[in-house]
Amino acid sequence: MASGVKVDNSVIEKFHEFKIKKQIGYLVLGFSDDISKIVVLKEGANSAPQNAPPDDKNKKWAEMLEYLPENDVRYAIIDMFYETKEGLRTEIYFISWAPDTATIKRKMLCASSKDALKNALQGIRNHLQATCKSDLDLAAIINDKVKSK
Amino acid sequence: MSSGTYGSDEVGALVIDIGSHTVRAGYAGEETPKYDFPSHVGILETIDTITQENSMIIEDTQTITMPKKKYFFDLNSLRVPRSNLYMQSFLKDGMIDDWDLFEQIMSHTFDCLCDKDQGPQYHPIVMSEPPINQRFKREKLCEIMFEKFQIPAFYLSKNAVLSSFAQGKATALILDCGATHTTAIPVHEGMVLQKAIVQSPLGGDFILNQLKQLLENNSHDIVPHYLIKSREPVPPYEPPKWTMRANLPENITDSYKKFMVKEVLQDLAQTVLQISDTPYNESEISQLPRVAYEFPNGLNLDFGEERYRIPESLFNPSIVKGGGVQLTSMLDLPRLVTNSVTMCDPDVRASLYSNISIVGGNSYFLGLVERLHRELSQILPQAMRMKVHIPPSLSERRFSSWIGGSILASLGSFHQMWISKQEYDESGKFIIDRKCP
Repeated sequence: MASGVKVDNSVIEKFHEFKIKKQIGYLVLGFSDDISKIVVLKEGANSAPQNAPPDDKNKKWAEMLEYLPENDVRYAIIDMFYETKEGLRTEIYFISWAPDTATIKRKMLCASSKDALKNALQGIRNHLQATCKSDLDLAAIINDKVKSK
Repeated sequence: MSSGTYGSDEVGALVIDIGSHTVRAGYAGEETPKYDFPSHVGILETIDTITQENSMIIEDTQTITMPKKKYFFDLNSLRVPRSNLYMQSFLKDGMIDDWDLFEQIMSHTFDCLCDKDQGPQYHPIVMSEPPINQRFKREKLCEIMFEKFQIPAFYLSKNAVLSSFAQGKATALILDCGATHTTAIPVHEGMVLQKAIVQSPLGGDFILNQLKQLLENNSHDIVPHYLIKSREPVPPYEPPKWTMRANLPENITDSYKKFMVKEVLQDLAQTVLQISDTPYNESEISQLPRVAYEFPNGLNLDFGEERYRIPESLFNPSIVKGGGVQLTSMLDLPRLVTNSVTMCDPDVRASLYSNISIVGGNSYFLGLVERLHRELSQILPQAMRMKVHIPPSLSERRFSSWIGGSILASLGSFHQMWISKQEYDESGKFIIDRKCP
């Protein structure tokens, strides 16, 4: 079951840019005003240099969290860096953000449109479904990832 | 695509959500259903004598007797006792079983919701179905809606998915506390994982039965509203003083009595019952203040440890003595959750545990979330992140799947998802398996 909301072409273009060029640090997506499609609402820059340690590179998470409002739904795409025995690793995360304080209509919209968006953005293995900022605690996410290896 | 037919957002769609206790119906886009009437319908069988005149030979008149059924749907009309009126549900195991009665209910719903000069043929309809519906029942439902009611468009959705979406979750473990059953339904990315559904008969009716037994064991009569003309206040535990209504109709059926007694018990349950934070401990709980309750006939009782002992059966069914069922083998709520999740793919277990969501009319107990959280955190490994959600208001819990359907049907972009009349005419009833998986 799906809402039938379309994914705007600009989202797919930006996602490819994000994957290839590494200039975009993260993308925050949301619904257009007439709720007919999903559009890019915020494009975050990659401020840390290419050879910076993972902690510096992960600083953009805190910045991204600022763009997830307390009473509305969003999607976000961001990469996460972590250290393993074999060296530095990176993972792309897809986040759907639906806080309890958002209206039911927006929550419904967020959940029922997710499938269309996921199908449009190929190649993301990690999905997070968050209802509060503590669900997006970076240390816990890295911890889970390292353990699952 | 049928989007051309429904150009604007306002299509006047109707949303119908069928539960084992009540049927919820209303307009898409609204926050609560307009009508919420019992799934048990009052039926009165009468025999009509029709004198038919044969037009060919005028002198010859024929008398034909025809059995005729009169139906009563609303609680208000049901509260008037009628002789020989009996109550019957059109559902069996949560699925539609009595199709004639179902058609009657739908006709009544449309009479309530549609304008007098317009029938359902102007309203697209979204309906919910139980997660374990049978294929031929879905097809038959689709056929009835298009053929009999001539609706312009139809959509059928699993109620657990609607509940999950209404909370902003594409993945969730829905614990649906209904009247006849409590069911754990894993929903992953908007799809119900059919094989991992776990059901237990620990529902609202089970709780009400225990309450009834408790009162009967203490030889208190439960007098339903329809028998009472007046009452006088009496001190607690004194025999009630009330007068019976005069000229009551004869032959009031057992099913009607049962239905009306249940109404009294429901109110009692919602007023006094509560779930204890910790496993039930009689000596601890008897210290807590007792809650007084006045029955419709004026009987005043107060409830102490029973308030906690009865709903405790949701967590420990063996606490119920007797009852004729194998209670020890029944799954309690935490086991329902863990059994259902362990049947799912290991990859999705973590996300299900962190998105447990309680819905349904039997989730009114105070302390339910806290207790479930406590019990689960004792069973699960510590590293497992677990979170129990509950919609904030009681109406959101009771109507969660209706609300989900209401929002979905009101979205402009949803129009392309409907099965239109034209598509039905082209492909027949099997289209439901393709468009509403």
